[in-house]
Amino acid sequence: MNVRVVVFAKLRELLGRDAWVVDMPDGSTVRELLLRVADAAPSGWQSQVLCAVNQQYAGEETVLRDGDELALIPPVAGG
Amino acid sequence: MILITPEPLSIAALLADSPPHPCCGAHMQFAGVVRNLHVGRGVQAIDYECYEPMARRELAQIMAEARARWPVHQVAIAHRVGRLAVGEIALWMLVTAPHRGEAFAAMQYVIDQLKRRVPIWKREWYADGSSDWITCRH
Repeated sequence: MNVRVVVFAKLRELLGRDAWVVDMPDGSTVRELLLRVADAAPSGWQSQVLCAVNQQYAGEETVLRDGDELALIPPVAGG
Repeated sequence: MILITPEPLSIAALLADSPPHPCCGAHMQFAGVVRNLHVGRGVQAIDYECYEPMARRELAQIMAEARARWPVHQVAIAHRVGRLAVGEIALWMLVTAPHRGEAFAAMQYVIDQLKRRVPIWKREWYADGSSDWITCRH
């Protein structure tokens, strides 16, 4: 299955891109996809990052489905 | 009303979209403005970045939570994105209610939750040309 990953702000700069598609085994969780992303990321990238699946905050145990969008959200600072 | 826009926020235009209602004695606005100082460093501009589909969803949820807790009549939020200079309005909010107490409480709740949950980021640009993604401490 394909999951689209989107990243923002400091994380976008750290990873050098803003969106890409990852091919994962069916039934994969957010945690498993994070491990895949970590392979291509500098150490320490994940500190304080929250996840959202299809624009809603989601825990790492969340099971992903084909076509989902996983957003990696560094600490926010609106207003 | 939720507005996320790269265009300058006009308070007059925003107010024209949200006129006072006869039921509301409190017509309360808040404007968040780009400040010239952050932790002792001179700030010249701020870039605002937004994950817009999720920001809209979170803002709508926060507004619904405020309505469930207080008898507010209107809640409106406008947020700028892109590069803003010192003095420009980054955030404008309106809460109307029959009385000021619930308007103050709802306003405080919405802005606090916005800063905690809504996926918007800011990068400050300093006088020496350097910049930093910052997190809210206030």
